[in-house]
Amino acid sequence: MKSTRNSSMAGVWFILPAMIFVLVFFIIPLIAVVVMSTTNFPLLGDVTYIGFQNYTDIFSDTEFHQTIIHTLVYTFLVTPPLFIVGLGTALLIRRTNKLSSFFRTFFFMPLVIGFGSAAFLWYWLLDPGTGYIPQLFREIGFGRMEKPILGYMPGALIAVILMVVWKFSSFQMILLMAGMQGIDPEVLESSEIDGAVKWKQLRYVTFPLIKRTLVMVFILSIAGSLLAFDQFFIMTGGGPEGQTQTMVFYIWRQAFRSFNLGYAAALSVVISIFLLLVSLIQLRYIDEKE
Amino acid sequence: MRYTLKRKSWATALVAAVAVGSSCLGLMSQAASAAPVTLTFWSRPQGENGGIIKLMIDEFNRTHTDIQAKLTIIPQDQFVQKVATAYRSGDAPDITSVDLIYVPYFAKAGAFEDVTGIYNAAKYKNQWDKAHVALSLYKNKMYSLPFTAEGSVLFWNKDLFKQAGLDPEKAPRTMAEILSAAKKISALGGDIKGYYFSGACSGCNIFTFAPYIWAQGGDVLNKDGSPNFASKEAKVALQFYKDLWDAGTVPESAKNDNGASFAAPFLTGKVGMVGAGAFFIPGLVKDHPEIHFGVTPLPGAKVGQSSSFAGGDNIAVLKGTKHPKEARAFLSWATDKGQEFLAKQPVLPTRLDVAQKTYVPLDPVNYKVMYDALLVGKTPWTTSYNSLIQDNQGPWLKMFTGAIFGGDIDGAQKAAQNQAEQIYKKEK
Amino acid sequence: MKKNELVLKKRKVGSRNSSIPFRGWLVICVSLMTLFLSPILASLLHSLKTAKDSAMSPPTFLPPTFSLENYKSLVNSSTGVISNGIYLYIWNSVVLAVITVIGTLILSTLAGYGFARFNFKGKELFFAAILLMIMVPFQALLTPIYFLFSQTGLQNSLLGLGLIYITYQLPFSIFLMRNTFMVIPKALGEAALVDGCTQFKIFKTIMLPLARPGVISVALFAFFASWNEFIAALTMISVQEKYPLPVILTLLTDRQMGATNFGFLQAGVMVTMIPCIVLFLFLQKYYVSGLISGGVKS
Repeated sequence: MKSTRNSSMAGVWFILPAMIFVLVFFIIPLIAVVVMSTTNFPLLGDVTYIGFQNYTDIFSDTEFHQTIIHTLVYTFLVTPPLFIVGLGTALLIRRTNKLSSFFRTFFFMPLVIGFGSAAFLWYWLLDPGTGYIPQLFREIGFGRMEKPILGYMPGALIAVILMVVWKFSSFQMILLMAGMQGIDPEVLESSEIDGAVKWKQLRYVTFPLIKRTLVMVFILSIAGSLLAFDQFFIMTGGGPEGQTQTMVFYIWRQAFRSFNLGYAAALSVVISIFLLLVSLIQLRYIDEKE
Repeated sequence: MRYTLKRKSWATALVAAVAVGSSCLGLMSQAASAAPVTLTFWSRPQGENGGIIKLMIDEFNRTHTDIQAKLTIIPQDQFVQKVATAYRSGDAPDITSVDLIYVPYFAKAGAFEDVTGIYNAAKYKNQWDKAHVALSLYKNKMYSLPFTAEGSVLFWNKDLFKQAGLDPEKAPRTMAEILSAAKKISALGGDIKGYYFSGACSGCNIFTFAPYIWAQGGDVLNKDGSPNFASKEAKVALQFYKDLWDAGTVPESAKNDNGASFAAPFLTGKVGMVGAGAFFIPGLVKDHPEIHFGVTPLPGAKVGQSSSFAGGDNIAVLKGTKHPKEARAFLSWATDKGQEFLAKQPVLPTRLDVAQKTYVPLDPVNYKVMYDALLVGKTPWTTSYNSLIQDNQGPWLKMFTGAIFGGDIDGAQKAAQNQAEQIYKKEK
Repeated sequence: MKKNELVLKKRKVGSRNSSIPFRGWLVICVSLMTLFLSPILASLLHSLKTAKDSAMSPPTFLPPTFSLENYKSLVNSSTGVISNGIYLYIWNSVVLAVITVIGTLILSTLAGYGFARFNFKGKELFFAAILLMIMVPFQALLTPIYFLFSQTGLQNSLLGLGLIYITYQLPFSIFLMRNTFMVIPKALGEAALVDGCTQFKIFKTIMLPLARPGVISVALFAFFASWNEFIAALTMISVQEKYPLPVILTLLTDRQMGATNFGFLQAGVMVTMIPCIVLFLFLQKYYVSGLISGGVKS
């Protein structure tokens, strides 16, 4: 008895250092943000309490609404390719031979090189003057390719999506692969015997078995896409003509260009709540079908 | 456990006592030897390759024993945010060189010291260019002093003019003449284009495009800082740029250029004309002797009209500085001997007498144009520069791109004016 | 392009018609590998061009002359945009990485163990707090953190930045360590308890060594995160001499009279990328198992 009570307390000591960090560098700033969202907080100047006015302003802020649409469109367009390429490569490298891990290494490379580097790499790759991609198109015969791809829609959005898929699909690959390893091989065998076509087998046998993994993958993927910022900041600057400005980009502008810290804080609160809801809905999906 | 803790606290107390004691001793000895006062000085990169400000600080430190300045260079597009945040956190430098366009913003927020006294007492106060002085004024007090200058002018490639059948020594005198010259030059074919501008850069275009509006007598902002984006002069200028673009006289890559290239394509020798500033000249002369160029004021609609954006920095003392006396001494040096030093680098100084005496003789043809540009130079006065103009998603650039690439000039102007008015109302 | 074949485990490899024939599989894998690698390869090639060649338009794929000019400029740069040469910034990134890795390791191994082994009041609450961290756009928290820091002098310091990085690595790292510890049998520690060892001693001398793969994974991820992060660094640090590498990359695209020297930029990109690639190649298996452990079981 005595040892279990002691061991409970010991648990608290173990997690204490980490919790202190979370408290100081996350919870407190989070509370600060919520408080800031009820104020008019210009970077320089007096801070005044204005209650919920920032939030009502959000309702009439058409520019922000536009960025919501941009973000949703982006999320909608990037999630399937990410998943498909991730799943495809996961299935490919499940073969157990030496070559599999060889290829796996290379699929992983884009993931480890960092967002900034990747974005700058692609920014150059797409440059009409000195980039390799327009040159490639020229050699294939697509014309002079003088127009900058990142300067027009939908090219700009597609290019960014391409970069993101290139970079992050291996993350999904590994999660899916890990999830699939948990499947009992006998279940697969028996469905084969029943004559299941490969595609049907995937859909009706494999997927339900890895439901937890699928939901996790989608939650992370969608959350990440809804919060997208870095890639647009570097590659398109929100252009062309603001058409790739995402929600977080808008918040960043409010905070670091217009210096409306109170308003930026309110926007952040709204987005976080939105994200939380989206994730909760996805989590519910696990419990439901079970 | 408890036993060790007690031991530890004794030890810490002892260490603390020693530390306090020795720092007291240190302070006392420092007071005795009267070490020079160190001023912290912030600036964005200035001049060619951004290094001019360092040379200037070195010069100051070399010539002063009682005051030393410590320089911190802050990247241009974060400058305002960094200074503002530092000021708010009580962390600001003693002095800052600041893009003159932002002085009203800081003055309104009370971040800069009132230097009206220094201004009035200065012997050379009538020698400063009007724009820099105007931007220092807020509610009739001076909150900064003019420091470095920049002006926008039109560069033209004489060889390309000749090839296109134009008189290489005759600069275009109106927007219409620029358009016609640009078309003729682009007709030379190949990669040769008549004109260049950065299509996705707000700052570049307030620098090189707004003068076309001003030259006609119009403006983008009213005297009180309220927006005036839907003026007819703006429409004429936007139509001019739209014609340049539609006629294919501008390289396609310009659409996406966020300022990373700015005027650089001119250096390839394949661009006929471009708007740029004094900073562009030394590099052209030194590194590209093969390009024969001329410099001329940015024109308006009629012959004889011209204007220029007066840019550069002012220098200000931050409120709450612990060394007000030394800071003011620095300001005096920067606006006097410092100007001589600048002019020799060469950097266009804000003191017109120094400019005429020291700067212009270094390149009597081109630098005289810069001097003239500074004489007529204008700078928009607003406390909301960032949101109205600098912001790449703000009304200024949106109007620009909407009219020129989108094609609907009236619509773009109207939308921009709406957005600008909302911002102006909010940030007043 | 969906890959519909399903490969059965172990013995059944290559049997029957449920798998794509080996050759087809190989072709697909090689093409994919080329696709994934080529941008990196392109960057490498472009960085090895002379400044003049890299500005050439249209570009050639291979450098006409191989040159280390761009790398030399990175090292020697003493004026203009990146004064101080690249070694200073590499050092800053290294310092930042060391702070982040050590801090993350200490906090997450302790916390992971705590969550794995013990039950205590509020455990769910703390766990939820950690989960909450992935829902909030952390750019939004940067300004309040900056103000908080400036009260304590931590603003504009690599240490302050490192503390932020540590905190935001915690969710993933704690999950990972928790899962690692959960797999280690309790029995190993129980014997020591009877002998009178403290919990901490058990943790330190018995459990931790057994958790080495997890520990290495956490370190690796913390390294990658801190080495590559850019927005917080840009916001928190105002002085050029303290910038880590990714922020310097943004300076390399700054206009300086000439057009952006993309070869120079790619050299910077390569310098930033290479440590990550090298580390990854050496510690692959930890990286992979880390992702699995941290991602799936949470």
